[in-house]
Amino acid sequence: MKFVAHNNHGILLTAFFVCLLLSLPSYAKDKVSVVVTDAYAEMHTGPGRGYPVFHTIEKGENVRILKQRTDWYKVETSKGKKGWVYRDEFTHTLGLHGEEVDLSRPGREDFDNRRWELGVGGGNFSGARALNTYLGYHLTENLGAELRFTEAFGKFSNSKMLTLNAVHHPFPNWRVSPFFTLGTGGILITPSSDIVQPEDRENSVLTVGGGFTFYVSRSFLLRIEYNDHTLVTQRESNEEVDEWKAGFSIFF
Amino acid sequence: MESRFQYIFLIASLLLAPLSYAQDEEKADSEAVLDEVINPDLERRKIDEERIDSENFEFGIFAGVMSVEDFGTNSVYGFRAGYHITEDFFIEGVYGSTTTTPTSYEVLSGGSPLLTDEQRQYDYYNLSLGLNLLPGEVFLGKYAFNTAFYVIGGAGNTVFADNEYFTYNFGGGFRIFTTDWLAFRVDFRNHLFTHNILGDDKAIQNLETHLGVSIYF
Repeated sequence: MKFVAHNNHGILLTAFFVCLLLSLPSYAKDKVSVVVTDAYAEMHTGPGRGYPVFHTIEKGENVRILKQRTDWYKVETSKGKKGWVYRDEFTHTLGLHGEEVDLSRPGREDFDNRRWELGVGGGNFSGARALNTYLGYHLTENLGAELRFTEAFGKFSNSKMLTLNAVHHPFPNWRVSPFFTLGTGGILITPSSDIVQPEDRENSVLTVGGGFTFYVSRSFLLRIEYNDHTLVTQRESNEEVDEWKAGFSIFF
Repeated sequence: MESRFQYIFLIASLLLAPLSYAQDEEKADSEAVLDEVINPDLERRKIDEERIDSENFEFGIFAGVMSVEDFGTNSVYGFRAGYHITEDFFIEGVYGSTTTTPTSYEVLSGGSPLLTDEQRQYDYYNLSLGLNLLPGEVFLGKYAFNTAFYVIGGAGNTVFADNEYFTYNFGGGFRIFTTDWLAFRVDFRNHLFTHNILGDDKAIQNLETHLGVSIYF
């Protein structure tokens, strides 16, 4: 489990290229053509409001949407001009055959229908400073699964914990929504090297917890959470560890 | 909204024109009737974001120099992965690695080395939140390239001298896009943590600067 840099590079790089190859088909996505129905739309040289406007698309003009970055679309006009247009300029756009075009920014509806969630946070792991990240997948409105990784930096030891959790949201559509989690995993505890006889130990962990998510706006969530971890030891009693944490997440 | 209904209505009435003679009187009737009549015949595909290729992820590699307090300035290599949340904010994970050199004291005293070769290896990883500032263009001859400055800060882990340290980092950088999906970056970062390798607790600052290249996908 010890982090050895050089050997990991190769594996990670390979994994990355595999991901790249897998994502290649997405480049083959069909280009969407739309008709601008606002009075005009401004074209910027880059995907941001600070980049200069160099062209305007008139009402009724057809444009092809080539790609998207954050809230900006790269479009090509019928005359071959390429530039970036802000999402809000396309709110009333129609498809070439009058299809509805939904290019509104992510909002409540997307929050209710979210599938993937990625979050980071910090907190207190039984007195130690801790960092955590998680990746969640919503199976249904109420039920989800989460893979979590926590790293704690204590005075006498450091811990790394990986757990898989089931998450239940009883009221998924509330803006402040409570949730409960139940999960299992493992923890690796490494005593600081300046303590005599450092020996790593690995324990299974059972974890139960709960918390609240706050829907902020767009694709942002804030999240506070409490977890009670039970470390299964070979001694007579198991060890209990409290964890408080707060962080933010994005969903997509 | 009204004009959209008109639009839909006009298209529909065109398609349905041969059938609609009998229905002329009802035309004045409301949208409810429209829905019933039109929807079964017009298979409208809704266009949404899923059909558009998005490029919000970034992956890059970098190389530069890193100064580890007391342990010399050496070359550093690493890679980064990022996600652009809005045009202003992005999150980024970085993994970097450098090999430190002996402290001046070790060299001068000629005594036994403080750390083994393996312990001199310094690896770090962190997650940070970045904010893009001052977007603009630079000009090279007749070409214009998009650029942006950014400030960034976060926390992570440092593995050094057989121990792990909770590490804050903050800094800034400059990004220049040669195409929409290829960017070159200069990054300056300070990594802060406390260690007790030399006896007492010591809060150290480790400055890093590197050049990198990133692709967006």
